[in-house]
Amino acid sequence: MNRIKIVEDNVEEVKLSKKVMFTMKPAQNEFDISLIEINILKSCELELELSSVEKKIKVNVEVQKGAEVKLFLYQKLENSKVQYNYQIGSGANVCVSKFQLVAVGKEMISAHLLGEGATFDYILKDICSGKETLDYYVYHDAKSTNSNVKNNIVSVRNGKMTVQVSTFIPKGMKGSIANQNNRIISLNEKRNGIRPNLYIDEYDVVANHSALIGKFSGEEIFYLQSRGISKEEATRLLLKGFLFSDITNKKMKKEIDKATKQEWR
Amino acid sequence: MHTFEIRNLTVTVEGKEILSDFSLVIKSGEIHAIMGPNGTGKSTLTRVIMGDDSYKIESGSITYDGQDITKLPVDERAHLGIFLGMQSPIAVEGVTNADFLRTIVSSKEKKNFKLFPFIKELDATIDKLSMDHDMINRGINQGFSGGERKKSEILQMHLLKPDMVLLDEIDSGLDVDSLKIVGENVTAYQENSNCGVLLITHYRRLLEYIKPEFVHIMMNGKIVQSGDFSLVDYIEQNGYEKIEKKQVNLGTCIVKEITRHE
Repeated sequence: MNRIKIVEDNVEEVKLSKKVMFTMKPAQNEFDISLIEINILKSCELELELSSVEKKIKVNVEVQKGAEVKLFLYQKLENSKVQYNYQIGSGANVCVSKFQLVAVGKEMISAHLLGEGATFDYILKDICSGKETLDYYVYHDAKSTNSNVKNNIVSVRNGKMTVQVSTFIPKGMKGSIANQNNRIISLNEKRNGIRPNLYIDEYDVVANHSALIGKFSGEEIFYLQSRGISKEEATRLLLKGFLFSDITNKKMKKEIDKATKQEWR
Repeated sequence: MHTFEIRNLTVTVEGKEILSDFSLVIKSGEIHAIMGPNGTGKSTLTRVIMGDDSYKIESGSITYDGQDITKLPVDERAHLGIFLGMQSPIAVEGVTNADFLRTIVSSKEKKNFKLFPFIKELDATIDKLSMDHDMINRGINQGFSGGERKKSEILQMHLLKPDMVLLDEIDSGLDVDSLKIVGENVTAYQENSNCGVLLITHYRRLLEYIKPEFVHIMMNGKIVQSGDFSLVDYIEQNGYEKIEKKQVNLGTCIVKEITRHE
């Protein structure tokens, strides 16, 4: 597995095959932006770990045509702003699994599906404990492109999450499929928000969205309790399930497990 | 020997009376079946017994071996040995059946929990229920068919070893073969453990595998008729309407063909 670990502006670990090219330009002063450039030439798996306190970071990920890429992102943000920009070539398939702990942070993710048949699958597992904003822009810039954005967020303590997902399918981009699935489980009394936007200017497409903000249902808690599990343990189990679903990578599961144990001891 | 007793229980939800002055006693080793038209409060009864707080108990009591359990939380009722096999078990993404089953059994057995005997028993029970062993690596009831979900309920029953088993329409969604497997498994468990069983069902077929000694007909939130297995035949032939009419006509008199269970 290819691996890049960046803490603040320091590249702490880089282990890359010839399939991945990487450069980083650290910020020159407190107003500057750190720039990370990743160019994926062929099918591979890449792990990117990013920790940042009071920084502005821009990550450009370019995926060349036909490449099948599995990207595992681990992110810890505190008072930071991050911008991801994915450029996906024709026939390329990018599958992002991301786990992040955010105290206060702002993040913008834009994905450009540039060539026919390009796909972008994005799964986020997020434990939000401060003010956090996630802004997605997904552009279907070619025919028969496919995007799936799935956000599973748990809002805890002072967590105040706002998610906006905007998907654009312009005229002529026939056969494209766009899905959005956003869920926030709120374990506090703070205000959380989801804004799903589908900007569709073509008839021959499939576009869906679902959004849910709330707590676990009484029915779920009742079922687990009826098997002898306490209400607290039932909630913990449901949270684990919520954060584990769709994650197949063992390391990511381990990280999520570690974080949930710390949060809900 | 355990005794489970519901006395004059009246339950409402959002001001609407669902159970009305309901009484029933179940002892260890007894199998009771409750039948009745849709919407008469049968499922509500099982959920109230288990402690679902969306229902309000207006009056009456539920006791288990003399202990009033109406104020106990759901999990503590389960720890007393009451098990509810649900009509529509929920699915939980992300938590595997293996994790879930280990959690519930270790939560019951606490320090006595031992992993190897648990795995051995789990494997044997999965075989007994003709289930796919891969199910243990899937999410709780995730992607399960209706029949698989019901079998999963029975699997949990076997592992938790309850003394009082409530089965709410455990036959719905089961094909004939699965119905036989589920029915035979419940009967085998009942015979081995001598537990009390309360079955809620609409169909005679399940009762051919799990033979109840006591059959009750429930209407408008209360038992209107009790009897033995012949009551099932009576219902098959005449439907509930006749019983309802006879109740109206005869008041509290016992319908001739039926023996009331006291």
